[in-house]
Amino acid sequence: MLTYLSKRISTLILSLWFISICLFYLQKNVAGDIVLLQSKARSNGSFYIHPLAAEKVYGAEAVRLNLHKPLFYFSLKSALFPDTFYRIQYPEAIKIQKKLLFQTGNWSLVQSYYQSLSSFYEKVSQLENKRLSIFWKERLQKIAYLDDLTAINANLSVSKEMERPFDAEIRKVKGIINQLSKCSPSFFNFFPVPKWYGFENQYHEWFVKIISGDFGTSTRDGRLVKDKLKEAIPWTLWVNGLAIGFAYLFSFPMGILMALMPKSIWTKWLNHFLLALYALPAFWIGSLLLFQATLPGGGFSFFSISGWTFYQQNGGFVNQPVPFLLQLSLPVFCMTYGLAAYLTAYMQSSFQKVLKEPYILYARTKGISQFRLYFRHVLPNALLPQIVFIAGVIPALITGSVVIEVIFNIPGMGRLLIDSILSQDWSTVYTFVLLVSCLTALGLIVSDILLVISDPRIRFSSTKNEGS
Amino acid sequence: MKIRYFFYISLFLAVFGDWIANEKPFFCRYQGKDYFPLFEAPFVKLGWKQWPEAFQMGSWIELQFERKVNTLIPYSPETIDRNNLGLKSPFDIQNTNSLWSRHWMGTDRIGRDVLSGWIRGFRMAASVGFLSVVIAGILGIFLGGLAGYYGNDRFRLSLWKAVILFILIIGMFFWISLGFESNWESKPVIYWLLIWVLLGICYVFLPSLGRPRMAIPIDGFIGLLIQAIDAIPALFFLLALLPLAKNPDLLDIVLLIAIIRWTGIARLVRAAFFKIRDLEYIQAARLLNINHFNICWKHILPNVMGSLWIIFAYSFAGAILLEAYLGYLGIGMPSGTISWGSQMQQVRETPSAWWLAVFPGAAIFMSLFSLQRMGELLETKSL
Repeated sequence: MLTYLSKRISTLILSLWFISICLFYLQKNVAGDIVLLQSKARSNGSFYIHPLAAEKVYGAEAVRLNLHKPLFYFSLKSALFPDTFYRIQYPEAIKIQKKLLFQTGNWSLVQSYYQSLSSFYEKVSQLENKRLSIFWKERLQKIAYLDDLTAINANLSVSKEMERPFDAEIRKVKGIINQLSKCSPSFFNFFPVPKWYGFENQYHEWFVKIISGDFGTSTRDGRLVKDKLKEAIPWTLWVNGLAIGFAYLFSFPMGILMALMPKSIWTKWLNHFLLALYALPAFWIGSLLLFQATLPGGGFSFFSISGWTFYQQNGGFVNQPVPFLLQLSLPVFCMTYGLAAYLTAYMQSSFQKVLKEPYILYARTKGISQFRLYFRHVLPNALLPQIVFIAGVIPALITGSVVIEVIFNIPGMGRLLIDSILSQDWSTVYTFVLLVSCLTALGLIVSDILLVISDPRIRFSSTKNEGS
Repeated sequence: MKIRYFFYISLFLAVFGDWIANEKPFFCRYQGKDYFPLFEAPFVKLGWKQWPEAFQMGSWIELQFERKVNTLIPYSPETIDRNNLGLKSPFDIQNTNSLWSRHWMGTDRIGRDVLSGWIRGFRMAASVGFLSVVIAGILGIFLGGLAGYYGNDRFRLSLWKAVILFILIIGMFFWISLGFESNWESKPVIYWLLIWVLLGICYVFLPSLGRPRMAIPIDGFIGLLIQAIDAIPALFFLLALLPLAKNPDLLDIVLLIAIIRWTGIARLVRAAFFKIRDLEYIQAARLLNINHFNICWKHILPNVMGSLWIIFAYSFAGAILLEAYLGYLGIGMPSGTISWGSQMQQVRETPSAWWLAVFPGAAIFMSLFSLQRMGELLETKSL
């Protein structure tokens, strides 16, 4: 049993780690340029830097946001990339230098080309003559975005009058370009070279932070993600917990009753009804109920549509338990009925399956009482699949509760997720998804442990390769 | 099996929906000339036929014809009826000429006919469901079959073949990243592709020198992948991956749904393959020197298909529900797409527009119900 469990847990942890890597890369790809976004937000949207001056400004900001490190523990890149390529921060600069590198295959020349352009720009910006400096700044900006060597050369040659103050710089840049145009990458330049960066990387820091409970701040409103989650989790727990509780409360007796009278016409009709109930989309029923609740005489006077913020501020259940629960009744109902329908059918079928076992026949012939037969011999065995099912229910419920929370405006986790996506607050979104998947994985482990404890067959046959 | 008729009707609406609800009339006489706009539209689009300017400019419902024969519902899903803007209920007094052009399911906020959008919804649901089930089925059967057939210890390679396989996999990633970074037509990328193909040819055709000793844990890898995907609730997964596509279209959504849904199919296929691969008739087939692919394809898979149809039905239902969720939340669906979910989206802001909730919701319910009922019937049949 221990080997089985340890194997299970270790693979789960591995898959969680895998998920975290995927989410980290997603976050990096989806979020866009955080440095630029933040700088823009700070300067009211009118943020501009010259591409040649950008590296300093941008680099400083990137260091502040901890983005100056390599992304992952290792990388596999062509040999023509230098070890320190990740240190270039400005995305446009990275793009152009990469293109030049792929064309020429000579990193030191590309680097010196870019440095000479930067020093050229510095000299231009110190210039007193406004007309000249504006002209050259614009020209250099154009050049900095070019990756075609002849075009760069053509752009550098202008009238004598304009060139005179910067003769030395232009000659230097042109010389480097001349050299560059003679270079071409050899085949071996593209040989993949693995590089090890060690633990000083962005993923590692992000992961360690999340493990230690620091989920960072939201990029939108600057609040701690942890605080946001702390506010949201109780609501989701309330709704989901009540839904699961009610569903089991309804489905156990119902399922057993239906299993005990398999030939009754009621059972037949109820089965059809349950299937229909299970197929009813909760968000449909939710919107219809909400429509009814908005009618003045609709009979839902206990439910106030804007009531959630009131309970959010005033402590909810502790202060006004009855109105609070009434307020929760509609969303909980929407989440309960589908689950209850499914569980009832499930309970019924597992109960019936156990009833057909030979040992039940034996117990009957032995003459034990009906009550003892059903509750001592059938029920424990029929409950077994239900235990495993709980874990499978939780992710489905969380998915369902997203839509329900959006409909009824409950400030829970689902609503937080949707709001974060709509406001493009990706750091919150991906931290959140990671957390939910951890919770789900935890549920799976718990159900496995329960199953192993309750079923000796698994306990003893676990050393073999399990087939299903 | 009465649900069969629902499938027939849905299929009919999905295929011929555009001929039932269309703003273009079957036949019209305009300025003394006869036209068949509904049938001529594709030819006009291709430039094979010319229409008067008025046909291309204005909306069809506002044009004045001398004679015309409308389709059953004279509105396209996208048609904006300016006379009935702003949520006209089916029972409201509607500003229409005749009973024929009445909005039988009301209009939405910008004056689109709900009924014709509802009919378009059948096509949306059917295409999303069908395509995602097909893609998920291919993925699930392939990966699940690999995992189940070979398990952890039956795929054995000699040392040098294992090394080449490793290089092939790493090389594929490297090649793809190289292609994205530089340019797919650049020389190094093509060189690398050539090398990769050569290595692949070596792997396939050269003999495995020495005894095949290295066991590749295919089941372990695929099991890990399945576990990772299953650990994320479906809607969360979808919402987390959607922003990757900057302007997601329907195919992106279908692909993402398939990526979520293949794990269930793969689990089932894996378990079934695991059971069947040791039966006597498979051993006999192996003795007859039938290759692995044919054993899987012709001797194992047909035995799994029975239970696969069940899970296909459930996956179809799940895909429809996920698509409806997305449309309802208004996230990720391309703007202007009309489906049941996106019709219901407007109810979120104005709960009083019940007709926008009732009809699309009923359609979702009916399709989910019939698919699940079909799954159940298949289940009882196969037992």
